[in-house]
Amino acid sequence: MNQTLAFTPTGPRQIDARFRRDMNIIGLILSLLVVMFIFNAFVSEELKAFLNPW
Amino acid sequence: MIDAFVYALNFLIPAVILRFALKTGDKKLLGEEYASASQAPSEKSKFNIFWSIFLVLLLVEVGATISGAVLDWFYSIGFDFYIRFELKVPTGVFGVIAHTISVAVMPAVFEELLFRGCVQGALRRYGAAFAIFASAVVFALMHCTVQQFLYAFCAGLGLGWLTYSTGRLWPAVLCHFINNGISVAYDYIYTYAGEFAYMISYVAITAVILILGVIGLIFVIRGGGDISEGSRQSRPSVLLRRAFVPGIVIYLVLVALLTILVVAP
Repeated sequence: MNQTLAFTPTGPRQIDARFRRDMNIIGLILSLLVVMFIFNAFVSEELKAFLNPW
Repeated sequence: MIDAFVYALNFLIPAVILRFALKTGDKKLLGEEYASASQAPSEKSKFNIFWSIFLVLLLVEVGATISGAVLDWFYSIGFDFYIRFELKVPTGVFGVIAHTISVAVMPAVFEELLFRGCVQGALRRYGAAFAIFASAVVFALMHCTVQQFLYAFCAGLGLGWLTYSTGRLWPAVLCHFINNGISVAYDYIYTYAGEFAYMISYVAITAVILILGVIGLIFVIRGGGDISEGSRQSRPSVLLRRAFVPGIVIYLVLVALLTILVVAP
């Protein structure tokens, strides 16, 4: 039994699955943040230029 | 001003999604109660919070110094990670207010809400040390520049500890605001009063932070500060090895992409 993660009655396997799920969600949502950065920094400038060619 | 609102939305949208996706935001920070008393961080008096803020500002200064030394060393061996940009300071009262809001207020509120409130709050169940370290790493990566990584990482550790040890989010927001506010003030002093005035103000502000930070350190050492909660059951090193899940890998790839795009001419 993996003692390092056994800190609740639900057991290490469930905790490990929950940890992986939490980290996946955090990673994906922060990825969304970076995508918005990229959009704001580069794409939106191009879009503005395209919409206002004058 | 529009940029400031776009900036706020950039952070607010992920913060809201994260709060509802994980349903494990630091409940105390979000106005709810802890499930058990043992989970609650130690409460501090306002007096201790005041000194803790200066201690973290001192840590950020130390981080900036170490970061500068590392970047200079890289520069000396041929790797230039410095990003040079033209210093543009707005004119007029409205311009100054808008600039201060977008550079000092918005990042302080929304970055703290997302990284210390949501990410660190969600990871608290895996141990305070892991939560502070992991949120500091993703916070530093979010800046998407090599130049700011080490500095932001040190700041993230300090702000994470501040949020954890006080059990409140506002000290970290205030600390972040003071730090960014000082940078904004330097920009104005440099532009309007010249390099000598900038040097004098830099020495003066650094001296004040140094003195108040050391006093803060003495108070914190006397008051005790423990981040070992939870780490007996879940070792941070084991968790870190397991943290490279697909979601985090995608984040790392996107950060690398934006870092390259920022540096690219």
